[in-house]
Amino acid sequence: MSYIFFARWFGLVSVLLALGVLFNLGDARRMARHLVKDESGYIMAGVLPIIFGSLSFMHNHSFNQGWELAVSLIGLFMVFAGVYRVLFVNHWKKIMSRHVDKIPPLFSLFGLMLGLLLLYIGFFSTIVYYGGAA
Amino acid sequence: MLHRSFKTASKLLLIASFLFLCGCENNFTGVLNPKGVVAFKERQLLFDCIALMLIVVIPVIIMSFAFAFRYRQSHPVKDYKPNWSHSVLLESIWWGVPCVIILILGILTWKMTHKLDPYRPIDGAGKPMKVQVVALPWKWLFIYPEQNIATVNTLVLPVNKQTEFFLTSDNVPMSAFFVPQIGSQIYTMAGMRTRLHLLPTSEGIYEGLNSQYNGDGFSEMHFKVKVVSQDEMKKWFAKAKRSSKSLSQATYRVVRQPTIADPAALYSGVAPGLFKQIIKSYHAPTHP
Repeated sequence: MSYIFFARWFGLVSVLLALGVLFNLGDARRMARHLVKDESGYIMAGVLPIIFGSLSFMHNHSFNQGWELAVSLIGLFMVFAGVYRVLFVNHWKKIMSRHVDKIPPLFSLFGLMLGLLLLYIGFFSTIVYYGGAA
Repeated sequence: MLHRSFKTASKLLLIASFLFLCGCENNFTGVLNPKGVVAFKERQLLFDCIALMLIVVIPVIIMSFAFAFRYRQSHPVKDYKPNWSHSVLLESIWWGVPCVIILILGILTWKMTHKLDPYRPIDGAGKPMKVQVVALPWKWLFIYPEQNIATVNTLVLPVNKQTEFFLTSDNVPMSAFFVPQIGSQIYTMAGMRTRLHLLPTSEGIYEGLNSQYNGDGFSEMHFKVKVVSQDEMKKWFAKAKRSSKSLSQATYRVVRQPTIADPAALYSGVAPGLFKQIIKSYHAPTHP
Protein backbone atom coordinates (compact mmCIF):
# COMPACT_ATOMS: atom_id res chain seq x y z
CA MET A 1 0.00 0.00 0.00
CA SER A 2 1.75 3.14 -1.20
CA TYR A 3 1.14 6.51 0.38
CA ILE A 4 -0.68 7.49 -2.81
CA PHE A 5 -3.10 4.57 -2.43
CA PHE A 6 -3.70 5.37 1.25
CA ALA A 7 -4.25 9.05 0.44
CA ARG A 8 -6.77 8.25 -2.30
CA TRP A 9 -8.68 5.67 -0.27
CA PHE A 10 -8.71 7.43 3.09
CA GLY A 11 -9.30 10.83 1.46
CA LEU A 12 -12.40 9.55 -0.28
CA VAL A 13 -13.66 7.82 2.89
CA SER A 14 -13.08 10.97 4.98
CA VAL A 15 -14.87 13.28 2.55
CA LEU A 16 -17.86 10.94 2.18
CA LEU A 17 -18.20 10.45 5.95
CA ALA A 18 -17.78 14.17 6.62
CA LEU A 19 -20.45 15.11 4.06
CA GLY A 20 -22.76 12.42 5.42
CA VAL A 21 -22.46 13.84 8.95
CA LEU A 22 -22.69 17.45 7.76
CA PHE A 23 -25.98 16.97 5.92
CA ASN A 24 -27.45 14.84 8.74
CA LEU A 25 -26.34 16.76 11.81
CA GLY A 26 -29.45 15.85 13.82
CA ASP A 27 -28.92 12.11 13.36
CA ALA A 28 -25.19 12.47 13.96
CA ARG A 29 -25.87 14.25 17.28
CA ARG A 30 -28.25 11.48 18.35
CA MET A 31 -25.58 8.89 17.47
CA ALA A 32 -22.95 10.85 19.43
CA ARG A 33 -25.22 11.04 22.51
CA HIS A 34 -25.83 7.29 22.21
CA LEU A 35 -22.09 6.67 21.88
CA VAL A 36 -21.43 8.61 25.10
CA LYS A 37 -23.52 6.07 27.03
CA ASP A 38 -21.99 3.01 25.38
CA GLU A 39 -18.62 1.60 26.55
CA SER A 40 -18.08 -0.50 23.41
CA GLY A 41 -18.43 2.63 21.28
CA TYR A 42 -15.41 4.13 23.00
CA ILE A 43 -13.38 1.00 22.41
CA MET A 44 -14.37 0.94 18.73
CA ALA A 45 -13.46 4.63 18.40
CA GLY A 46 -10.01 3.59 19.63
CA VAL A 47 -9.61 0.24 17.84
CA LEU A 48 -10.40 1.48 14.33
CA PRO A 49 -7.83 4.31 14.34
CA ILE A 50 -5.21 1.89 15.70
CA ILE A 51 -5.89 -0.60 12.89
CA PHE A 52 -5.95 1.93 10.05
CA GLY A 53 -3.24 4.15 11.51
CA SER A 54 -0.80 1.28 12.12
CA LEU A 55 -1.46 -0.17 8.65
CA SER A 56 -0.79 3.21 7.09
CA PHE A 57 2.31 3.88 9.20
CA MET A 58 3.76 0.41 8.59
CA HIS A 59 3.64 1.01 4.84
CA ASN A 60 4.54 4.71 4.82
CA HIS A 61 6.97 5.95 7.40
CA SER A 62 9.06 8.36 5.40
CA PHE A 63 10.07 11.50 7.29
CA ASN A 64 11.60 13.20 4.25
CA GLN A 65 10.16 16.57 3.40
CA GLY A 66 7.16 16.22 1.10
CA TRP A 67 3.62 14.85 1.06
CA GLU A 68 4.89 11.43 2.20
CA LEU A 69 5.72 13.10 5.52
CA ALA A 70 2.13 14.34 5.81
CA VAL A 71 0.78 10.81 5.24
CA SER A 72 3.29 9.35 7.76
CA LEU A 73 2.20 11.92 10.36
CA ILE A 74 -1.49 11.22 9.73
CA GLY A 75 -0.88 7.48 10.26
CA LEU A 76 1.14 8.13 13.42
CA PHE A 77 -1.47 10.54 14.77
CA MET A 78 -4.22 7.95 14.19
CA VAL A 79 -2.24 5.36 16.16
CA PHE A 80 -1.65 7.76 19.07
CA ALA A 81 -5.30 8.88 19.07
CA GLY A 82 -6.46 5.24 19.08
CA VAL A 83 -4.05 4.26 21.87
CA TYR A 84 -5.19 7.20 23.99
CA ARG A 85 -8.85 6.28 23.52
CA VAL A 86 -8.24 2.63 24.41
CA LEU A 87 -5.95 3.26 27.39
CA PHE A 88 -7.66 6.31 28.88
CA VAL A 89 -11.31 5.45 28.28
CA ASN A 90 -12.63 7.49 31.23
CA HIS A 91 -10.75 10.63 30.28
CA TRP A 92 -11.89 10.28 26.69
CA LYS A 93 -15.46 9.69 27.88
CA LYS A 94 -15.37 12.85 30.02
CA ILE A 95 -14.24 14.99 27.07
CA MET A 96 -16.83 13.43 24.75
CA SER A 97 -19.66 14.03 27.26
CA ARG A 98 -18.67 17.66 27.72
CA HIS A 99 -18.65 18.46 23.99
CA VAL A 100 -21.13 15.91 22.68
CA ASP A 101 -23.15 18.50 20.70
CA LYS A 102 -20.08 20.04 19.10
CA ILE A 103 -18.48 16.77 18.03
CA PRO A 104 -20.54 16.06 14.83
CA PRO A 105 -19.93 19.46 13.19
CA LEU A 106 -16.26 19.35 14.23
CA PHE A 107 -15.91 15.78 12.97
CA SER A 108 -17.40 16.95 9.71
CA LEU A 109 -15.10 19.99 9.48
CA PHE A 110 -11.89 18.09 10.22
CA GLY A 111 -13.00 15.14 8.08
CA LEU A 112 -13.52 17.49 5.13
CA MET A 113 -10.16 19.19 5.67
CA LEU A 114 -8.28 15.93 6.07
CA GLY A 115 -10.14 14.30 3.17
CA LEU A 116 -9.47 17.19 0.79
CA LEU A 117 -5.80 17.26 1.73
CA LEU A 118 -5.50 13.50 1.15
CA LEU A 119 -7.36 13.70 -2.16
CA TYR A 120 -4.93 16.39 -3.31
CA ILE A 121 -1.99 14.24 -2.22
CA GLY A 122 -3.45 11.13 -3.89
CA PHE A 123 -4.71 12.52 -7.17
CA PHE A 124 -2.99 15.84 -7.90
CA SER A 125 0.36 16.09 -6.14
CA THR A 126 1.75 13.24 -8.25
CA ILE A 127 0.84 15.07 -11.47
CA VAL A 128 2.61 18.27 -10.50
CA TYR A 129 5.55 16.61 -8.77
CA TYR A 130 8.92 16.65 -10.48
CA GLY A 131 11.38 14.09 -9.14
CA GLY A 132 14.50 15.21 -11.01
CA ALA A 133 17.46 17.34 -9.95
CA ALA A 134 17.05 20.52 -7.83
CA MET B 1 -44.82 22.69 -16.53
CA LEU B 2 -42.69 25.58 -17.82
CA HIS B 3 -40.99 25.83 -14.42
CA ARG B 4 -40.14 22.10 -14.51
CA SER B 5 -38.69 22.31 -18.02
CA PHE B 6 -36.61 25.29 -16.94
CA LYS B 7 -35.25 23.34 -13.97
CA THR B 8 -34.39 20.32 -16.17
CA ALA B 9 -32.70 22.56 -18.74
CA SER B 10 -30.69 24.28 -16.00
CA LYS B 11 -29.45 20.95 -14.65
CA LEU B 12 -28.51 19.76 -18.16
CA LEU B 13 -26.66 23.02 -18.84
CA LEU B 14 -24.77 22.71 -15.57
CA ILE B 15 -23.68 19.17 -16.44
CA ALA B 16 -22.82 20.17 -20.03
CA SER B 17 -20.67 23.03 -18.76
CA PHE B 18 -18.22 20.46 -17.41
CA LEU B 19 -17.57 19.40 -21.03
CA PHE B 20 -15.68 22.68 -21.49
CA LEU B 21 -13.07 21.33 -19.10
CA CYS B 22 -12.25 18.44 -21.49
CA GLY B 23 -10.15 20.75 -23.65
CA CYS B 24 -8.01 21.95 -20.75
CA GLU B 25 -5.70 18.97 -20.45
CA ASN B 26 -3.45 19.71 -23.43
CA ASN B 27 -3.79 23.46 -23.46
CA PHE B 28 -1.82 24.46 -20.40
CA THR B 29 0.61 27.19 -21.33
CA GLY B 30 3.41 29.10 -19.69
CA VAL B 31 4.17 28.29 -16.08
CA LEU B 32 1.39 25.67 -16.00
CA ASN B 33 3.13 23.62 -18.70
CA PRO B 34 6.72 23.43 -17.40
CA LYS B 35 9.60 22.14 -19.52
CA GLY B 36 12.43 22.75 -17.08
CA VAL B 37 13.46 21.72 -13.57
CA VAL B 38 12.94 25.17 -12.04
CA ALA B 39 9.57 25.66 -13.73
CA PHE B 40 8.43 22.21 -12.52
CA LYS B 41 9.36 23.08 -8.95
CA GLU B 42 7.65 26.47 -9.22
CA ARG B 43 4.44 24.87 -10.47
CA GLN B 44 4.63 22.30 -7.69
CA LEU B 45 4.96 25.08 -5.10
CA LEU B 46 2.07 26.99 -6.70
CA PHE B 47 -0.26 23.97 -6.63
CA ASP B 48 0.79 22.88 -3.12
CA CYS B 49 0.11 26.39 -1.76
CA ILE B 50 -3.28 26.53 -3.49
CA ALA B 51 -4.16 23.09 -2.06
CA LEU B 52 -3.16 24.12 1.46
CA MET B 53 -5.33 27.23 1.21
CA LEU B 54 -8.25 25.30 -0.25
CA ILE B 55 -8.22 23.04 2.85
CA VAL B 56 -9.93 25.94 4.62
CA VAL B 57 -11.76 27.51 1.69
CA ILE B 58 -13.63 24.43 0.37
CA PRO B 59 -15.00 23.24 3.76
CA VAL B 60 -16.17 26.81 4.48
CA ILE B 61 -18.00 26.97 1.14
CA ILE B 62 -19.56 23.50 1.63
CA MET B 63 -20.55 24.31 5.22
CA SER B 64 -22.11 27.62 4.17
CA PHE B 65 -24.49 25.69 1.92
CA ALA B 66 -25.01 22.90 4.47
CA PHE B 67 -25.92 25.31 7.29
CA ALA B 68 -28.19 27.37 5.03
CA PHE B 69 -29.90 24.11 4.04
CA ARG B 70 -30.22 22.86 7.63
CA TYR B 71 -31.51 26.08 9.17
CA ARG B 72 -33.89 27.03 6.36
CA GLN B 73 -37.25 28.49 7.38
CA SER B 74 -39.26 25.43 6.35
CA HIS B 75 -37.09 23.09 8.43
CA PRO B 76 -37.37 24.00 12.13
CA VAL B 77 -34.66 22.34 14.25
CA LYS B 78 -34.10 22.29 18.00
CA ASP B 79 -30.51 23.44 17.88
CA TYR B 80 -31.30 26.77 16.21
CA LYS B 81 -29.73 29.39 18.53
CA PRO B 82 -30.03 32.84 16.93
CA ASN B 83 -28.47 34.59 19.97
CA TRP B 84 -25.46 32.28 20.28
CA SER B 85 -22.25 34.27 19.99
CA HIS B 86 -19.17 32.69 21.55
CA SER B 87 -17.36 29.40 22.11
CA VAL B 88 -13.73 29.21 23.21
CA LEU B 89 -13.32 25.76 21.62
CA LEU B 90 -14.72 26.81 18.23
CA GLU B 91 -12.87 30.15 18.26
CA SER B 92 -9.57 28.37 18.92
CA ILE B 93 -10.27 25.93 16.07
CA TRP B 94 -11.15 28.50 13.43
CA TRP B 95 -8.23 30.71 14.35
CA GLY B 96 -5.83 27.84 15.09
CA VAL B 97 -6.24 25.90 11.83
CA PRO B 98 -5.51 28.88 9.52
CA CYS B 99 -2.54 29.81 11.75
CA VAL B 100 -1.09 26.31 11.35
CA ILE B 101 -1.69 26.44 7.58
CA ILE B 102 0.01 29.85 7.33
CA LEU B 103 2.96 28.48 9.30
CA ILE B 104 3.26 25.49 6.93
CA LEU B 105 2.91 27.78 3.89
CA GLY B 106 5.61 30.04 5.30
CA ILE B 107 8.07 27.19 5.90
CA LEU B 108 7.35 25.66 2.49
CA THR B 109 7.72 28.94 0.61
CA TRP B 110 10.84 29.97 2.56
CA LYS B 111 12.62 26.68 1.86
CA MET B 112 11.59 26.53 -1.81
CA THR B 113 12.47 30.20 -2.42
CA HIS B 114 16.01 29.59 -1.19
CA LYS B 115 16.26 26.31 -3.07
CA LEU B 116 15.16 27.98 -6.32
CA ASP B 117 17.31 31.09 -5.84
CA PRO B 118 18.21 32.12 -9.42
CA TYR B 119 21.83 32.72 -8.37
CA ARG B 120 22.16 29.19 -6.94
CA PRO B 121 23.35 26.44 -9.31
CA ILE B 122 20.86 23.58 -9.73
CA ASP B 123 21.89 20.64 -7.52
CA GLY B 124 23.38 17.65 -9.31
CA ALA B 125 23.14 19.19 -12.76
CA GLY B 126 26.84 19.32 -13.60
CA LYS B 127 28.98 22.16 -14.92
CA PRO B 128 26.81 24.86 -16.53
CA MET B 129 27.09 26.30 -20.00
CA LYS B 130 27.48 30.10 -19.83
CA VAL B 131 25.36 32.64 -21.71
CA GLN B 132 25.59 36.42 -21.38
CA VAL B 133 22.33 38.26 -21.97
CA VAL B 134 22.01 41.94 -22.86
CA ALA B 135 18.56 43.54 -22.93
CA LEU B 136 18.59 46.21 -25.62
CA PRO B 137 15.85 48.51 -26.94
CA TRP B 138 13.84 46.38 -27.91
CA LYS B 139 15.63 43.16 -28.58
CA TRP B 140 17.70 40.56 -26.76
CA LEU B 141 21.38 39.93 -27.42
CA PHE B 142 22.73 36.53 -26.34
CA ILE B 143 26.50 36.02 -26.17
CA TYR B 144 28.00 32.54 -25.79
CA PRO B 145 31.43 33.47 -24.34
CA GLU B 146 32.84 29.92 -24.36
CA GLN B 147 32.00 29.49 -28.05
CA ASN B 148 32.64 33.14 -29.02
CA ILE B 149 29.33 33.51 -30.87
CA ALA B 150 26.27 35.72 -30.39
CA THR B 151 22.62 35.84 -31.46
CA VAL B 152 19.82 38.37 -31.48
CA ASN B 153 16.31 37.31 -30.44
CA THR B 154 17.14 33.59 -30.56
CA LEU B 155 18.41 31.52 -27.69
CA VAL B 156 19.52 27.94 -28.28
CA LEU B 157 19.98 25.71 -25.22
CA PRO B 158 20.95 22.05 -24.77
CA VAL B 159 18.39 19.74 -23.18
CA ASN B 160 19.15 18.30 -19.71
CA LYS B 161 22.16 20.58 -19.27
CA GLN B 162 22.32 23.46 -16.86
CA THR B 163 22.83 26.95 -18.30
CA GLU B 164 24.10 29.87 -16.26
CA PHE B 165 22.96 33.28 -17.50
CA PHE B 166 24.70 36.58 -16.74
CA LEU B 167 22.34 39.42 -17.49
CA THR B 168 22.48 43.17 -17.93
CA SER B 169 20.83 45.84 -20.06
CA ASP B 170 22.12 48.61 -22.28
CA ASN B 171 20.50 51.73 -23.71
CA VAL B 172 17.27 50.85 -21.91
CA PRO B 173 16.81 51.31 -18.15
CA MET B 174 15.37 48.01 -16.96
CA SER B 175 13.94 44.83 -18.49
CA ALA B 176 12.97 41.38 -17.22
CA PHE B 177 14.14 38.14 -18.81
CA PHE B 178 11.49 35.43 -18.60
CA VAL B 179 11.00 32.04 -20.26
CA PRO B 180 7.81 30.91 -18.44
CA GLN B 181 8.05 27.23 -19.42
CA ILE B 182 11.67 26.85 -18.34
CA GLY B 183 11.99 28.87 -15.14
CA SER B 184 12.27 32.01 -13.09
CA GLN B 185 12.04 35.58 -14.27
CA ILE B 186 14.99 37.87 -13.52
CA TYR B 187 15.53 41.59 -13.97
CA THR B 188 18.26 43.13 -16.08
CA MET B 189 19.55 46.55 -15.06
CA ALA B 190 22.01 48.93 -16.69
CA GLY B 191 25.40 48.91 -14.97
CA MET B 192 24.56 45.79 -12.96
CA ARG B 193 24.89 42.06 -13.52
CA THR B 194 22.27 39.54 -12.42
CA ARG B 195 22.51 35.75 -12.63
CA LEU B 196 20.10 32.95 -13.40
CA HIS B 197 20.37 29.16 -13.62
CA LEU B 198 17.99 27.16 -15.81
CA LEU B 199 17.79 23.51 -16.84
CA PRO B 200 15.41 22.63 -19.69
CA THR B 201 14.16 19.03 -19.68
CA SER B 202 12.30 18.76 -23.01
CA GLU B 203 13.32 19.59 -26.52
CA GLY B 204 11.14 22.14 -28.31
CA ILE B 205 10.65 25.79 -29.11
CA TYR B 206 9.48 28.00 -26.27
CA GLU B 207 8.47 31.61 -25.93
CA GLY B 208 10.79 34.02 -24.13
CA LEU B 209 9.75 37.55 -23.28
CA ASN B 210 10.40 40.77 -21.47
CA SER B 211 7.92 41.12 -18.61
CA GLN B 212 8.95 44.62 -17.52
CA TYR B 213 7.54 47.63 -19.39
CA ASN B 214 10.45 49.53 -20.89
CA GLY B 215 9.15 51.74 -23.68
CA ASP B 216 7.69 51.79 -27.18
CA GLY B 217 8.84 48.37 -28.38
CA PHE B 218 8.12 46.49 -25.14
CA SER B 219 5.27 44.44 -26.59
CA GLU B 220 7.51 43.17 -29.41
CA MET B 221 10.43 42.23 -27.16
CA HIS B 222 9.96 38.48 -27.52
CA PHE B 223 12.47 35.81 -28.43
CA LYS B 224 12.44 32.13 -29.33
CA VAL B 225 14.13 29.59 -27.09
CA LYS B 226 15.13 26.44 -28.96
CA VAL B 227 15.95 23.52 -26.69
CA VAL B 228 17.89 20.89 -28.65
CA SER B 229 19.82 17.69 -28.04
CA GLN B 230 23.56 17.84 -27.22
CA ASP B 231 24.42 16.69 -30.77
CA GLU B 232 22.22 19.31 -32.37
CA MET B 233 23.73 21.90 -30.07
CA LYS B 234 27.23 21.07 -31.35
CA LYS B 235 25.98 21.28 -34.96
CA TRP B 236 24.39 24.65 -34.21
CA PHE B 237 27.62 25.98 -32.68
CA ALA B 238 29.50 24.86 -35.82
CA LYS B 239 26.88 26.56 -38.02
CA ALA B 240 27.06 29.76 -35.94
CA LYS B 241 30.84 29.85 -36.30
CA ARG B 242 30.46 29.81 -40.08
CA SER B 243 28.34 32.97 -39.99
CA SER B 244 29.76 35.78 -42.10
CA LYS B 245 28.78 38.48 -39.58
CA SER B 246 30.75 39.19 -36.42
CA LEU B 247 29.82 41.28 -33.37
CA SER B 248 32.57 43.86 -33.42
CA GLN B 249 32.44 47.12 -31.45
CA ALA B 250 31.16 48.88 -34.55
CA THR B 251 28.43 46.27 -35.16
CA TYR B 252 27.40 46.45 -31.50
CA ARG B 253 27.00 50.24 -31.72
CA VAL B 254 24.47 49.63 -34.52
CA VAL B 255 22.73 46.75 -32.73
CA ARG B 256 22.21 48.77 -29.51
CA GLN B 257 20.18 51.43 -31.36
CA PRO B 258 16.41 51.28 -30.68
CA THR B 259 14.54 49.09 -33.16
CA ILE B 260 11.31 47.16 -32.93
CA ALA B 261 10.63 43.52 -33.94
CA ASP B 262 14.14 42.78 -35.16
CA PRO B 263 14.59 39.47 -37.00
CA ALA B 264 16.88 36.83 -35.49
CA ALA B 265 20.58 37.30 -36.26
CA LEU B 266 23.70 35.19 -35.79
CA TYR B 267 27.25 36.44 -35.20
CA SER B 268 30.50 34.47 -35.23
CA GLY B 269 33.12 36.23 -33.16
CA VAL B 270 32.36 38.71 -30.39
CA ALA B 271 34.45 41.76 -29.46
CA PRO B 272 36.60 40.69 -26.47
CA GLY B 273 35.20 41.70 -23.08
CA LEU B 274 32.05 43.22 -24.63
CA PHE B 275 29.73 42.17 -21.81
CA LYS B 276 32.00 43.63 -19.07
CA GLN B 277 32.48 46.76 -21.11
CA ILE B 278 28.69 47.26 -21.37
CA ILE B 279 28.34 47.06 -17.57
CA LYS B 280 31.35 49.30 -16.91
CA SER B 281 30.08 51.95 -19.30
CA TYR B 282 27.49 52.89 -16.66
CA HIS B 283 30.02 53.23 -13.84
CA ALA B 284 31.60 56.59 -13.06
CA PRO B 285 35.36 56.52 -13.70
CA THR B 286 37.36 56.22 -10.48
CA HIS B 287 39.84 58.98 -9.72
CA PRO B 288 43.05 58.37 -7.81
